[in-house]
Amino acid sequence: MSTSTADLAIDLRRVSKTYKGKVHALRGIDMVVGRGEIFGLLGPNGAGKSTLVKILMTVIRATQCEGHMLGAPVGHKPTLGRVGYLPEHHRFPDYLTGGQVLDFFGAMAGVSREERRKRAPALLELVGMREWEKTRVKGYSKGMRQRIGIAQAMMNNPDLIVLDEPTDGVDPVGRRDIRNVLMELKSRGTTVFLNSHLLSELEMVCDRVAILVQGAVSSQGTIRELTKDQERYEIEIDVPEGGEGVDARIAGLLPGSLREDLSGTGLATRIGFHGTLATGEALSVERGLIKVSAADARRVQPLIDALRARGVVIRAVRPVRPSLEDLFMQAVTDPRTGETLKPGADMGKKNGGKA
Amino acid sequence: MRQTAAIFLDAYRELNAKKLFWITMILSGVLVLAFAATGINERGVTFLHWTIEVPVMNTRVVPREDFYKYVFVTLGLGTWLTWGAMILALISTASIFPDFLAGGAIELSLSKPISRLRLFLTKYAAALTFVGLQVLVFTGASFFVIGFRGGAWEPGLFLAVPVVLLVFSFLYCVCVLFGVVTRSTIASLMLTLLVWFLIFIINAGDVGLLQFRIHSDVRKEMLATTISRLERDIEALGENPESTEELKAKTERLEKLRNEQKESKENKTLPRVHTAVFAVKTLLPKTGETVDLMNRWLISEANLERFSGPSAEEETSQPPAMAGRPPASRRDPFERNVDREAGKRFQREIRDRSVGWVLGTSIAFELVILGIAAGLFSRRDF
Repeated sequence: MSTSTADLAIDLRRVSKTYKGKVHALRGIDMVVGRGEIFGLLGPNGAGKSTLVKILMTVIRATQCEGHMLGAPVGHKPTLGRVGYLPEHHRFPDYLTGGQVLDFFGAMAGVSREERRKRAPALLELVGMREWEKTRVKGYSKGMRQRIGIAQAMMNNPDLIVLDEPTDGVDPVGRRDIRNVLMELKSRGTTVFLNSHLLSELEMVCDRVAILVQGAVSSQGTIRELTKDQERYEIEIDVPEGGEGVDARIAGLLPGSLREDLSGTGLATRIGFHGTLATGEALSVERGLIKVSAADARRVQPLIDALRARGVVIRAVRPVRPSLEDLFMQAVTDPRTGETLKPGADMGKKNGGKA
Repeated sequence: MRQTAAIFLDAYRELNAKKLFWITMILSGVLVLAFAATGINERGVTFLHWTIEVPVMNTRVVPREDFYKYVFVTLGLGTWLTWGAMILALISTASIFPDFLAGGAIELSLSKPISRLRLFLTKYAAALTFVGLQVLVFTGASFFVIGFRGGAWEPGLFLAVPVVLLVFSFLYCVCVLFGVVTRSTIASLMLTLLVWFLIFIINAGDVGLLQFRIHSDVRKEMLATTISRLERDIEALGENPESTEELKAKTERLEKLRNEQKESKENKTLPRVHTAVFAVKTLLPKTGETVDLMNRWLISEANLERFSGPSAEEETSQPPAMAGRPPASRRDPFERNVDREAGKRFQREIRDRSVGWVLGTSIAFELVILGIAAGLFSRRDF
């Protein structure tokens, strides 16, 4: 993403945070968020997501930070008047009603009394809390508090809204409502910075995502950009009942070179075939399913022709794109051992990350 | 300004939600009503239509207006506002900072376009304002009671508002510091009460040691005076052969006083200890002396003595450590004179401690404590 700082809602360079000199919560984060997009930040527990959000909102001071937010250096207080924020595990004063929460935090964000009076009912309506306006927050359910939280974050009509786990504790209907609110914000040109564990939620609304692992950005970009190299086609063929050795027969029909995958130490077990097509695409055959690593449909046609010419019945041909969950799991898996990386921040290794 | 108003409104809502705020208000109201029901006539003190005969407290001894002012200063201000209401105010405001700093609450406030220092100080000022409001209501009501019942419209009464507020702020800054450090209401309240107790102990130590010191100084001076007078007398009597008995008595007394003088000269520890205690006290807030400023401003020294009755001079000049000694009338006239003079000098010394010293050092303490608390708040990661 090559744009100037003016086009960016958030532009972070080398953001790091070390607690008490030894816990490296963030290790040189570089991240850009374009104006008007919905940006998703994901990562396992303790990856540093909330720390990064808190640095943006001046709740935590970065050990090092060269970033900008809405064109001003990170930490510039007046700029926060153009930012809405819903913290994770937020706690509104119990003695306030929903309407008073909006009024108080609106005033703290610098919104005039007139504007507050105008916006509060509309926002309560938007998040479905209009009839609870005069009820004290202490009587609210978790989902209702989230809704009020989102409404208060919108009181200053922000250019950038930062939501930390906004759907936490919200039922499916509420989550759909929140998604709709996010889309509404995007249509107004508001930048949304979303921090969530719910990958399916993020996948539905985010234009771009960044995956944070152990305090460093593992990958960032649009979901398409991140999955481009992993897109493939799957060809499902008609496998006869009890088709013993079917993979070997299919492999024999295909153009290109395939070799057998074996696993086990004593009695070898065949788990499929893999190799490359004559045109160079990676190919695998496993239980009658042919997987071709190609994003372009034209690349698959010779293979289909070859199968059809040999009388193979093709039941389905479908493009497959990895899900955000696949990306996430790849990011949190150690490529050497295949095991999931330990959650939490890095303890002691200052420059050992992948950022 | 918008944010300041919002913080003040929020502080009001928070205190309004706490029953203790209103309980304090109601108790203040009850006390003012009791104050209004109390009076004085030529026989003694009255309450509603009952009269309690008090020889030293009636309109023949004390003017009606002075009686009301005295009751306000000693009971309303000195007891209720500086002890009862003060503790209730501390309890009701102690949670303001710990609750504000609790996880999930502080993030929202810090993410707003307001500096941490301003946020901290505004929150502090808001808490003080509502305590000040309580004092104002009590003082205002007392003003009307003294006006209507005592016939004295004394605007100086309203000095109680800043005075009590100052005393509260000396303690509240400590409570805020502990609140910022521990983020616990109970811990901050308990530690503040402990500091208050420490201040009380240091103050009691200063007062006690000062009384001893003055008493000792007065005694030395009077010993020297009496000894030189006796020496002159003995010299004169020596020329008169008929006064052998008197000469013998005076010589014995001179010997006794010289021994006492010798012993008292050797006591250098007391001034040193008192100087050390006074130095510590100088660094701490003067809660009691700040409240006593109202005595200076509202009641003259002469009036104060009058409230103490005919034998007041002797009783007030008697240091606490001398309690248990025989009544003044049965004691040696020399000792009575020492007590009387020491008492006078003690009162003078206390009253001579300047307003600048009392308030200046206390406010300096508050600024330092508040500075530390604000510094911690401003630099901390939440």
